[in-house]
Amino acid sequence: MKVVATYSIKGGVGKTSAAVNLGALAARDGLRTVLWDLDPQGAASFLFRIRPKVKGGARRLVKARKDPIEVMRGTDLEGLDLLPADFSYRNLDLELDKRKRPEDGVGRVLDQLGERYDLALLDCAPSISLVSESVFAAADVLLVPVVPSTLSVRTLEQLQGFLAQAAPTAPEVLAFLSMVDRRKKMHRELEQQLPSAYPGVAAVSVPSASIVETMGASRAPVVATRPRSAAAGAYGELWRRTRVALGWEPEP
Amino acid sequence: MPAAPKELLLPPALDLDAAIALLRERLALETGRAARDERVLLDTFDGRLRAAGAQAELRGGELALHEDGAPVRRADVDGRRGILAADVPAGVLRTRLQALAGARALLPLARVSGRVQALSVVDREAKTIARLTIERADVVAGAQRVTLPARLTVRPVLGYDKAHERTVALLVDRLGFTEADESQFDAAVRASGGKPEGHKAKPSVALEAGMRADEAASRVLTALAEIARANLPGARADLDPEFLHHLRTSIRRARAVLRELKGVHAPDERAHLRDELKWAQAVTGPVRDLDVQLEDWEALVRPLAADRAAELAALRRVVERRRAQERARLRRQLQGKRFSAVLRAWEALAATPPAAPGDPDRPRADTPIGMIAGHRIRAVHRRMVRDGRAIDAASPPEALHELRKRGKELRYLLELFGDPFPSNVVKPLVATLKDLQSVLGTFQDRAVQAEFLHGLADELASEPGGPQALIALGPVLDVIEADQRAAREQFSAVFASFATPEQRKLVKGAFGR
Repeated sequence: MKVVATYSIKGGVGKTSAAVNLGALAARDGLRTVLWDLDPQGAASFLFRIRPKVKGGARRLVKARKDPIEVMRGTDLEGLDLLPADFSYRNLDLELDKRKRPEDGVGRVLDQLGERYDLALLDCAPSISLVSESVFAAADVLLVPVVPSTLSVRTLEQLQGFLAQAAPTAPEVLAFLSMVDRRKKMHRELEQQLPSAYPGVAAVSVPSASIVETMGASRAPVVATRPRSAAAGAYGELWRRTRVALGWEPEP
Repeated sequence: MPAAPKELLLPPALDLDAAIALLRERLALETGRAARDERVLLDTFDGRLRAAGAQAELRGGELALHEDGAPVRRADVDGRRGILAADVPAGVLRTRLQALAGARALLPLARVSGRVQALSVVDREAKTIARLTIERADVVAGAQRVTLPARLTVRPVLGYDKAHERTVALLVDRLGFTEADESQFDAAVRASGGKPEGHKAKPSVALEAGMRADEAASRVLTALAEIARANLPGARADLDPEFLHHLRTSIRRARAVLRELKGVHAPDERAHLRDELKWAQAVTGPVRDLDVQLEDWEALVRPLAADRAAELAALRRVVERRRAQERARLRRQLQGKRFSAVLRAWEALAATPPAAPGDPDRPRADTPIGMIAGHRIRAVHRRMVRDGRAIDAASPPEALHELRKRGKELRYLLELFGDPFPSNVVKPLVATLKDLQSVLGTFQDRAVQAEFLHGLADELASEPGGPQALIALGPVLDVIEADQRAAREQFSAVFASFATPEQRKLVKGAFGR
């Protein structure tokens, strides 16, 4: 099972949108996919109309006494299952810290699902914490949405610096532009400059489109509801590049 | 463990529309795809997908694989003949088919035409908690159409087992649906005249120790001839390499029956069939040998770096060309009169009436099979123990090859005539024999492979890209040689397990005098 995490230190940058859309695309490609909603706010769980509740909470999950499949739910999309969010995830750091090798905690939960799934997508909470380190240790690829702004670019640099210290276990970083508004000059300029200036930034721009924003109302991924939209096209390209990063598809 | 899908038959009084209307009244439903559906149901000749709980369908040029707990895997394929995993574009579907079907082709088993409506049972949040598919279908077999009973399939959604149970209970207990006693797949394949479970490659014949040898031989030879007949069309059409392999295995087993059961059949008929089966085995050998080389290809190139492996393309071309030449010869042989005559002679001998009392040509026809088989099993086992003990580091390779032949003989005796003997002796004997044969097989197969590759050198040298392939072959031959050495080193240990004093004692006791 390969592990891909959508991660950013910042909130509201399009992590959940990327995770649910890539989950839908992976399932459509025939991959048995599990999406773990690690954010206690439970946005991904909400989008799939699944109650953000895990019996026994974070403690029970990381103790690995219970098979995570028992608290998982199938989504409306065949082949895509959800390990839901739970409000207790806000204390996941503390729970991990109680165990030996806390940085392996997320990986230990995922290990139990390895035979049943081809891909795990982790939708992370916006933070940098022990949970993040555990995610970095488990993930093969880190998808990092970058909003076109100077501060976001700086945050990406900080993340890359942090991960460089963790080499060689650090996941491959695949950053992409998110919430791009082409009416704004700076967005257009950064869209042009970033992929060539920063290694690991893919030439993928998820637009700041109303259909992405209304996913919360339709409660379904745009790749399922509006497959021909520009946003769906961007997620399709992001998924293709993710497959390349995972070694499932040759370099173009 | 998530719940399993449930297939239900509609109440006889309901047509499809009435059933859907009834479901809408009693369940919170979202309506999905409704369509006319034309599809071909597929499986391997031996029913591997069905045995693994999977189902393959072909719609137009699109192959779809359905498995519980997994999304549908799809890919465009050319399905004019059988579909091999290698024919499927690289991706999830190909990987899964390689695991499920191996070298076997997916073959069309039934053509189904009908109307399908997908529905979802939803909760108050409009979240899908169970999936329904309702279908009325005909099986199209030539000009005939057989209407299958309309059915409703209820599939669970992970984490909503209770919703699945409630839905099934409502349908069965309140609405008059009944549980189908066979799946749609089985019903469709049966209606097409096929065997949903597929064809077995091994004969399964019930024998009793006191059964007359001629009757036992008749049963075993009949079962083997049926397997040969069943595999012949696929071998002729070259649908996948396993047809030829199983055809050859059934021939080899029939030869073993005749070899082991002397004095059971009339000598002339037995000698004639033995000669003809030997011929049939010989003419089918070259293609099978080349199939084995091609099946081993991945293992062959694995030790090489990717660019070096690509340099072996010329070798692959040479092997495939040789196979095509041998294949053309084989097709003529399989379609020829002599091959048909072999099968007829085989079936005729299998159908020979029991020998008359005191028939001098068939002195052992009425001897109990348990006595003959037990004697042969003990004799072959004893000889294997003797020959194996004599093998040491200085023994020539031929000594191991001979031991392997004896091992095959013992294996066939146990497979074909082991039924009357205690399974607590037969099973461990077969298990240790398998381990021994595996090591001996690796030892010999590697020798044959090295010889085969050396034998291609001249042809390969004149092939475009051939010299590079010859260079790339160097490390491959090193690996083959190392494998063979390793097998030789393992021999003592596996032989010791096979020839333990305890096992010898058990064999002696179980197979009697």
